[in-house]
Amino acid sequence: MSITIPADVPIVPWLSGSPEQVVAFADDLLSVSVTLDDLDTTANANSTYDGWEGAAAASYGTYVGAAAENAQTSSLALRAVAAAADTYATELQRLLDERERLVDARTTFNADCDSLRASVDAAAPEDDLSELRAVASELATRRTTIVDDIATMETDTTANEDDLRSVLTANASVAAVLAAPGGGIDPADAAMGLPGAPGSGGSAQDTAAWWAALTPAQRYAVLAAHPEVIGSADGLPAEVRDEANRALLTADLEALELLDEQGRLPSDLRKTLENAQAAHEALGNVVVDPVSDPPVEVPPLLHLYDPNAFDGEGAVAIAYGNPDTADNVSTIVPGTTVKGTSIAGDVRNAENLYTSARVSDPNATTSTILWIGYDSPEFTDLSVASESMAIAGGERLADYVDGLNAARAEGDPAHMSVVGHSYGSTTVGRAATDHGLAVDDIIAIGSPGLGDEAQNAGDLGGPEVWVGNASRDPVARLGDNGWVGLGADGLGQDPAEQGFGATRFEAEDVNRADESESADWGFTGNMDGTSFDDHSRYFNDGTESLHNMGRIVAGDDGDVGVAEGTYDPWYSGPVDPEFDRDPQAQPSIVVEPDR
Amino acid sequence: MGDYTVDYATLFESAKFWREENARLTTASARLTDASTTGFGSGVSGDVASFVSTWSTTVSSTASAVDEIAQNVDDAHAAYLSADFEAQLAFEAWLEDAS
Repeated sequence: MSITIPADVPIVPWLSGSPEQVVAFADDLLSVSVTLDDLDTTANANSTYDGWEGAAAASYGTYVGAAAENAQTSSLALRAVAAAADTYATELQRLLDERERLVDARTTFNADCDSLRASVDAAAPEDDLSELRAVASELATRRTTIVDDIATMETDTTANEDDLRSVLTANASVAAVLAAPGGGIDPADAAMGLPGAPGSGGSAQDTAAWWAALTPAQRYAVLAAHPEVIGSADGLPAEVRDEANRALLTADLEALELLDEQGRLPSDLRKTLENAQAAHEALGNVVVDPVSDPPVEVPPLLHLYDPNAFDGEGAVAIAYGNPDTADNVSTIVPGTTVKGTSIAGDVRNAENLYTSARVSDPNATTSTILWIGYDSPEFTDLSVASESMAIAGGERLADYVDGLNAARAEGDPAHMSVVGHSYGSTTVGRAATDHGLAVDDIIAIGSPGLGDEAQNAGDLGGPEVWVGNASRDPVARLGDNGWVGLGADGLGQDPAEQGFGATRFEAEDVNRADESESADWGFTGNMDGTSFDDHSRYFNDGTESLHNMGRIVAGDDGDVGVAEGTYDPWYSGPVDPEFDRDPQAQPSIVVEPDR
Repeated sequence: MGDYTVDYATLFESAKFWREENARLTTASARLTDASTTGFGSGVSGDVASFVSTWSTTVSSTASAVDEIAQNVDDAHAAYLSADFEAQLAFEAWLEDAS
């Protein structure tokens, strides 16, 4: 009795295409769409000017109207195809993966057939062939499945192309777009009019609920039509904000650098360009996860980008790790002299804190954010000693943190912390005392005080309060210690003092200032043994401060090196026990890629 | 000739605005023209290329219209500036003649 061995599976058809290149194509189209949408809006707003009337104004308006006539239609067509291209790319990737699987299945199948043929050829007439027949039967079933799957792959490929082609046809020309049902109407307009939309006065939770209720088409539309709103909207997913902000950044860089090359960049856009270039440089900072094996890079998310904020000083935030999903999320709030251009260098602080937290708890995911989201004073500015900017910044920070919480899935809160450095700690303090800061831990470093409303840690509303004031940091000596301090001109109580009620952690550096040094900068009080360099060491690799902050961010409170607080005896000025303690060098943990 | 009265301050703001818009449109138009369609499968890449070609023409036309506005407003702004400067020089020269 013979055995029927199935025929080999024919070669799996070739599938061409590159999803990555298609996504890049979609990004290009979306970027152009954003620019055109912007033109339509702004040209209409600039088709007339106050105080300019008569025939000249009318002629000008005619030209402007004609120039912008097809802008909105073009924008909608490009946006539609960009969305379709993204969908096409996703399906193409699935099909390529499926083809790879089928190629492997075919190879294995044909080899198994060869093996069966050899076994049959080797069998003697008297041998029991039932086992070989079972193998042949199983192979026949497998062959049917593989051949069917190949046919499905081909059908799906055709369908994927047909879907894209139909969108291309519907958007083939201005006339085609306008002729379609609802043609020329931007779905973003209706979406932005719904309750909870950014800018409507709702909370971050309202904005998160608004986004969740939008259809995929509406989401894509508002992203393309209003990236400047979406990119800054607290409560929206970090990856959505990142996409919107990167589109804005790309458009800014290309246009403003062109103007600069032409020597036609207006002076007020110079700062905008510099802020954009700094953000771009910061996004190029390569961060390597310190505990993953093999090493992986941590992609940055542009969580905030407004290069014109605060009279051109700029607002920007970059996250390492996704704050919507990470177990531990920490926001760094910098202090004086920080502006949009600072992000290029200061983002390394977020990198180092990310690294420290990951080393502290390799099993937990982490996101750290460098947030330049408020107008901070100049260091030499007298407003340093005023809380006005911290009060305004505190409100922004509270909203931002609310947004971080609101963007997360329900029932999946993060272990949330904020790190305020220098004047940033005052901003954190005002956010907590004035608005209630929805975090688990507040970390103040190099702090001159957490604001007048924070007489003790309990005034901060419940989060655990940690203070890392280095003994050789002159700014850390500005807080009030009883009779000593700046009083009404200062920024609040010394949070490192024993009576304040915070937990002080070790924050010294082996490279700290020598006792003979003195940062004499005009403020009253004892500045012996201090150096301004010690105000900028807190995030340095190998410091006690970075080591302990990583543990706090990761929730490893029990492993934090606790320091004795300052005190103010009646017979002398404030005393800092940390001044006489020998600092301990910590292991270097930051992985340096080829920068 | 109609009554083409132009407010100088408005012209200045307008020139600045259109200069920036022109740069944004120029770069966007170039980006669209240069958009690579090589990532698409062979069955649809021709359709995509055709789409890009059509809309490149449309967007390029928009960019040209904006460029024309920007050029004219910019030239007018420069002319006013130059005229004012020449008037200032003449005035100063006249004042100097008195001393």
